[in-house]
Amino acid sequence: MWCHTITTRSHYSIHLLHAVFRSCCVVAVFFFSKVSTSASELTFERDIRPILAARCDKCHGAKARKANLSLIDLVSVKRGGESGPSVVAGAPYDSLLFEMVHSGAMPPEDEPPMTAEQVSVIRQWIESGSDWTGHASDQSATVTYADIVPLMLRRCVMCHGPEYQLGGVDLRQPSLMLQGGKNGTVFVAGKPNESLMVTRVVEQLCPPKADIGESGIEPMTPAELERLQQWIAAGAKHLPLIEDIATDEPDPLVTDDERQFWSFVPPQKTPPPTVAPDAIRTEIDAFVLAKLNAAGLTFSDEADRTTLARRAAFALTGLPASETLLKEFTEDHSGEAWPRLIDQLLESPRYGEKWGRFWLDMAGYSDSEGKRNADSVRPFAWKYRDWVIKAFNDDKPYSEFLVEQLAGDELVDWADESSVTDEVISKLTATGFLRMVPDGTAADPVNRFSDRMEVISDAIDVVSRSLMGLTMNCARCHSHKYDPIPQRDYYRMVAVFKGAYDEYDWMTPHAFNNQWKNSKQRLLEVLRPDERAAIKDRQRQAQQRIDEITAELKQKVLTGDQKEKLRAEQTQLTAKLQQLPKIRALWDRGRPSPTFLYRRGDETQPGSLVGPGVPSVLTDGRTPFQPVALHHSTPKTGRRLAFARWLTRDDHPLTARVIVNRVWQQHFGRGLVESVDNFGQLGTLPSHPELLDWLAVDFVEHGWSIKRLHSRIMTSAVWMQSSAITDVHRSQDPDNRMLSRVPMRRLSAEEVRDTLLLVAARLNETPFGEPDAVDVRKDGLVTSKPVDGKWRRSVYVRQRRKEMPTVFEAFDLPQMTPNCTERTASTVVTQSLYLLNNRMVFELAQAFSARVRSEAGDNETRQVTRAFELVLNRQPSDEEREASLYAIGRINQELSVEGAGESELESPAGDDSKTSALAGFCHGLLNSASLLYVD
Amino acid sequence: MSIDQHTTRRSFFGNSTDGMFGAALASLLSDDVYGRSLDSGLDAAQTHFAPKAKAVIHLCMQGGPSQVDLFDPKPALKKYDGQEPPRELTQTAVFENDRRGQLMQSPWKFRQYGASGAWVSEVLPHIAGEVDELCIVRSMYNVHSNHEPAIFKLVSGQTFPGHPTFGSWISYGLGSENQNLPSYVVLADPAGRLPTNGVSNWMSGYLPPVHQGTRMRAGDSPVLNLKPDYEELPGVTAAKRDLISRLDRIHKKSRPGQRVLDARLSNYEMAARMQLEATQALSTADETEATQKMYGIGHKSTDEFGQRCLLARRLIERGVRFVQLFPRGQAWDNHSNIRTSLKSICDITDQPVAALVKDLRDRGLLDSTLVVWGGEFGRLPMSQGDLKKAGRDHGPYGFTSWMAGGGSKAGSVYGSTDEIGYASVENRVSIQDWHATILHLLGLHHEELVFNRNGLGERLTHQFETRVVHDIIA
Repeated sequence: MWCHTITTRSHYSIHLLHAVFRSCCVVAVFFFSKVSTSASELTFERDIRPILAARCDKCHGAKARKANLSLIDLVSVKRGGESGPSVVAGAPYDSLLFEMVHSGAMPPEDEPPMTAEQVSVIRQWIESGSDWTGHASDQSATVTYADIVPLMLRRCVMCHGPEYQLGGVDLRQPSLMLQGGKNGTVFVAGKPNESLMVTRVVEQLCPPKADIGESGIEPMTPAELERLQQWIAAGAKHLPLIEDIATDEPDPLVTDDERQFWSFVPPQKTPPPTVAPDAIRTEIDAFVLAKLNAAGLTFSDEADRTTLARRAAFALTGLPASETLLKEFTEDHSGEAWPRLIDQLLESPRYGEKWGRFWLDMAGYSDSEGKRNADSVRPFAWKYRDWVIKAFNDDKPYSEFLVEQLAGDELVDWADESSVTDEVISKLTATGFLRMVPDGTAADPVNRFSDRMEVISDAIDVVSRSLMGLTMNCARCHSHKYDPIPQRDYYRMVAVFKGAYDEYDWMTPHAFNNQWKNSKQRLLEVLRPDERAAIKDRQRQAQQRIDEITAELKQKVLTGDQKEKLRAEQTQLTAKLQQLPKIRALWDRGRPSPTFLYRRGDETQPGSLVGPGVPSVLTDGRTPFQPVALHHSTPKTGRRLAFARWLTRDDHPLTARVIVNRVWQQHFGRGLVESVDNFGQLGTLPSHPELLDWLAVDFVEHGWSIKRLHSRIMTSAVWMQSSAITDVHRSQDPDNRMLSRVPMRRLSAEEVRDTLLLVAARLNETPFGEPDAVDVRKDGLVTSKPVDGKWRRSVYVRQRRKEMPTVFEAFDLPQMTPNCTERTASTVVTQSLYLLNNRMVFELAQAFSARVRSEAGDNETRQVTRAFELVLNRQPSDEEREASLYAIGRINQELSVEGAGESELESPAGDDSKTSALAGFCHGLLNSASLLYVD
Repeated sequence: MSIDQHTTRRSFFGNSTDGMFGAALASLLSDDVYGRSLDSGLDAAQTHFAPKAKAVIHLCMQGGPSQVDLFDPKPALKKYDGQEPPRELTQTAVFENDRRGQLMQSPWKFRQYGASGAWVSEVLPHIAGEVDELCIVRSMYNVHSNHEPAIFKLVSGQTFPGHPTFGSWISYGLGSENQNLPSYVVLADPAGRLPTNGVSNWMSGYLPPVHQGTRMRAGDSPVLNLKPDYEELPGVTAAKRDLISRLDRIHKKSRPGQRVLDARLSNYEMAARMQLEATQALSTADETEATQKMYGIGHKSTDEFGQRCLLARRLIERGVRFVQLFPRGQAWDNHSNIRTSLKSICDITDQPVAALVKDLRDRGLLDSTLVVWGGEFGRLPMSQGDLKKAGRDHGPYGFTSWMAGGGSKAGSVYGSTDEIGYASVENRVSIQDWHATILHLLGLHHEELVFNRNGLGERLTHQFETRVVHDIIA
C-alpha cells in the first residue's frame, strides 16, 4: 500500500500538469511578446545546464532519454519529449520543465528533490526568456506535411478517404492529394485562398452541415485552418513521412540495464533442488519442498482418494466426479490409477467447457457490446466461444492457440472463395478474441474518435495483460512510470493492430443509416464452396416458393385465413433468405492509416509518427520488426502475424511464464506470481522463481500443451495434499505462501449452477451453438430459460452484460470491463438467500429428490446415503446421517400435522414429491457448505 | 502487500464473523485460503479525519434538470429571447449542434426565498421553502452531452462502465453501521423501469461485490430472494434451516481453521435477521399520518416518490450509509414541451424532496446526513424543436446541483454560469470536485481512498485534477 499511495500521487500530478499546460497555451503567446524587452542575465549554458546535468542527466541525458526527453542542450530542451515542448518562454507555470521540478514530481521518488534555489533559478530563467532572443517564429516552427496528415485524418478522410471519395477526392496520401478531384486540384501551392481545400472549409461547406455530429466529424478549428493555410502558403511541400521504428541502432529510450529485470529475461530451467527422494513425486515437489523444509515444514498428508477424485473432477470439468470414474479409481490401487483418472478427465468433453470458460474470462467474452444502455446483442459471438472450447478439448498448442486468435485472418487467404475450408473458417473465428472488448460505437451512430480509441486501448489492454502480464495501458498517455515501456512502444502496438483497428477507417459493429451505411459490419460471410452452393440452392427454392405465393395471393378465390397463412409462410421464408452463417472476426484490410503518438493520450494532440513494433524492453533493442510479407488475394499488412509469431517464440520472456502462472493460480487459488496480470515492477515477485521458470520451460519443451501442464501439476505431491489446516500451518505458513497445503475452494458461479442441474438430472449436455436465452423478471431476477425442462451448462447461457443471471452475479461472475483475469470468491448473504429462496433451486431440489427416490427406493436411510453420494461423491458420516434422518422426520411431522388441517396446501395437483420430506432434506443438502466448498 | 492502510485502520481481525456482511469480511480473513487480502469488510470504519456527515442520500435526477428554469435565473434570456446565442458564449461547445437554436426565456418566474435570499423558480414551491438548508452550486459541468456517458461520469467518475460508483466507494470507505442491512441501498422506480444505464448505476466495479448497491422496494419481499419464491409451510422451512445449520456445523468441526466456513454459517443466520429488519425498514405503516401527508403520500402525483423519500429516511435512521433514489426514467429530459414536462416532474418530486430535508432536520438527522440533488447535466438555454412545444437540449457545460445537511454550507449559493446560463464560468465545479467534496464531508480523503488493482491505486477521482470545494463546506 505504501508504494501504491506514492504511485497514485505521482501519477496524478502528471495529469494535473498536463491539464494546466493545455489550458494555458493562449496565455503563453501573450507573455511571449513581453519577454524580449525584459531580458535578464540568466543563460542556459551558464545557469541552467549545470543544474540539469547534476539532477536530470541520469534519465534525460546523453545515455538515456526517458519519456523521449533529452535535456543536454537548449535545442533538446526546446523540442521537449513525448508530452511536447518543455518550456514556454516567459511562462514558467505553463512550462512542463518547471512544473515537474516545482511540484516535486521530478526528480523521481528515489532521488532528493531540487533545492528551492535551483527551482527558483529555473523559474527566473524561463520567465526571462533570454534564450529565445525575441524570434517568435522559434515557437511556431514551419508547418510541414507531417502536421497536415493528422488534420486530414481527423477532419477529411471520412468523406475523402478509403471508404468514400466524394467529389473524386482522396486526401490520404500526397499522390492522391495531388490528383485532385472532379473539380480540379484541391490546392494551389502558395495560394491558400485559392485552394479548394481551404475555401470549402472557410465557406463551411466541409464537412457538410447536415452530417456534422452524426458521423462524429467536426469542422476544423480556426487554428487548424490556419495551419493548413500556412502549409499551402509555404508551397504545400510533401516531405516523406518517417516512422519511428526499431532499427539496428541501440534504442535510446530503454537501457540494457532495464532489460535485466527478472521477467524480461527468458526463463531458464534450473535443476530441481535435492530433497529426500521418497517425500516427492515430481520435480515440482522438489522446488516446493525445499522451501518448506527450509522453514521447518513439510508437505501435508495426501488427501484421501475420494477427496482427490472430487477435487480433480471439479478442477478439470467443473462438475462432481461421475460414479464410474470414482469407482474405477477407488478400486484400482496401482500407481497408474491417479494419472489415468486425470487423463480420463482431460479427455472428457466437459474439460473444454470448464477451461474454455477460463480463457473466455481472459478474452472478456460477452454476447453484447456493452458501454451503452442499449447493450446491443452481438450475433455470432458464440462461434468464438465454441472455438475456444474445442481448442481446449483438442489441446491445441498454446502457441498456435495464440497465433490464431491474434492473426488467424493473416494465416489464411479467406477472401479466395474457392479455397475456403473448415480450417479457414476456424482461423477466422479465432480472431473473435480481438472483438470481445466493450464497444461504444455499436449502439450510437454518433461515435467519436475517443470512443474508437477506447475500443483499441481495451483490445491492447487485454492483449498486454492477459498474454504478456504487462500493464501497458499506462503508456497510452505517458511513458510507463515504473516499467521501461516508453509511450512510443504503446503506439507501436497500436500500429500493429492498425490494419484492422483504425480509428480513421472504422467499422461500426452494425451498419447505420448515415455515413456508416457502408460500414461492412464486423461479420464475414465466409463459407465452404459446397456449403455456399447448398445455401444458394436452398435460397433458390425458397425464392421460388415466395414467388409462387405472390402469384397465389393474386388469385381472388382465397379466404382471409388462407391468405394469412400464405403471407406468414412468405415472411418466414424471406427471413430465412437473409440468414447466412457469419463469422464475427477481425481482419486486416491492408490500408492502415499512419499512426501518431497521441500526447497525453489525447487524440487531438498528435505527436511523432510511429511504425509497428513490439515493446523494446522485451527485445535486444536493435532488431527491427518485420511484418510478414503475405501474398493473398486481398492486401494485408502482416503486422499482427509478425507480432503473434514474436509473442510465441520459444524464448519469449513472458508468454509461457504468464500462462503457466495462470494455470497454477487456477489450481492453487494464487499464482506463483501473485499479481497474475502484472509481471512488471509493481507486480509481486514470484514466491518460487525457479519453479516458475522450470514450469515455463518445460511447458514450451513439451509443445505448449496445457493438458500436459495440468497432468504435471496434478500428479505432484503438492497438488495431492490435504486441505486441512494445522496449528503448525497457522504459525509457520498462515497464508499458505509456501504451499504447505491445498486451499479449500469455493465453487465458481458456473460450477454451482451446473452441479445443481447435474444432480437433479436436469442438465442438458448438448454443447455449442447459439446461447440460451434468459428471462428478466420485473423485480430484477434473471434466469436462463430451460429447453424441454432442462438447462445447458452455464457457459452456453447468453452473457449479455446488462442481463446477467442472478445466480452468476451472486457467485461472483465478473463484469467484463474489458475482461477478468482473476475472479473473486466472496461469501456473502445473497448467496445463501439465493440457494434457499430461489424457485429454480427449490424445483431442482424436487427433481433431485425424485431421482433419489427412484434410485434408492423408499428406505429413508438409503435415500440419505444416495443423496450424499450423488451430491458429494461420498457416504454420509454417522452424524450427518442422523441429522438428515432427523430433518426428514421433523418435516414429515410438520406435513402430517398440517395435512390434518388444510390438506389442499401441501398436495397440489397430486404430486407428492413437491412437498415430501425427502425433497425438503434434498433442498437442505443442496444448501450445505460441503457442496459449495471443495476440500 | 497484505497489510494496507485500510486493514490496519479497520483492524478487522478482531471482528470476523458477526454481522450480515461480516460474512464477506470473514471470507477475506481466510487469507490462508486464497492468499489475498481484499479489504471487503463492512464493519464501521474509521475515517481519514473527523467527518461531518455519516450518510448520504443521493437524489439522482437523471435526464438533466434545466438550471435556467429551476435555480439559476437569467434575465438576459428574456432580453435576448428568440436570438441566437452569441458565439463567444458557446466556445465550450464540443459539438456544433450545441450552438443551434434560439435563446428562450424561462416560462416560470423566479423569486428570492428565505433568510439567504436565494433565487428559486416558482415551479419548485416546496423546495423554495427549504432554501435556507440548501447549498446551491450553479457552476457544475460535465464532460459529455449524451446521457449514458454523462451518467457514468456522474456516478463513477469515468464516462464508461466498469468503475465503482461513488456509493460503492463510500460503502468501501465507511463500512456499515447496521450489519443486518446492506450499506448501500438503491430505491429505483418500483414500476420496474430501470434508470438509464440500468444496474450499472450502482455497480461496485472492481471493489468487492459486497459494496454494490442493493435494490430494495417497499412491500413483501424488499430484496431479491429475501423470502422463498415458492410456497412452503413455515415449519418445513424451519426444519430445513435447522438441517443446513447442523450439516454445516458437522462439516466445520472436522475442518478447524477454515474461517470461510464460519462465515457461511453466520450467513444463514443473518439471512433470517435481514428478512425481519429489511421488511420493517421498508414498511411505512408505523409512520404518523402527519408525516405521510408531509411527504405527499396519498396524493396522486406525489404518492409514489413520497413513499420512497420516506423510506430513504427510514433506512438512514437504521444506519444505511448510502441511499440512492431515481425518480423515473429520464423524467428530467425535457427536449420538448418543457412547460408541461418539466412541470410534471417538479410536481412529482418537489414536495417529497422538501419533506425529506425538513423531516431529517426535525429529527436531528440532517447534520449527519448529506442530501445530494442533481442530474448528469443541465440544459442549454436555447429552445429546441417547434416553438409552441419547445424544450431544451442537453447542457453539460454549466448546470446546477445542490446539497443539504451533512456539513454543507446551508443557505448559500456557489459559483455561476455566464450571462445566458450556457456554461459555468465562476468557481467551476467538475464532477470529480463534487465527488471529492462529498467524500471530504464524510471524513474521507479522495487521494487516500484507494483500491489496489493490477498494481495501480484506483480511486473515485481517477487521474483527474481535483479540488475539494471548501467554500461549500460549513
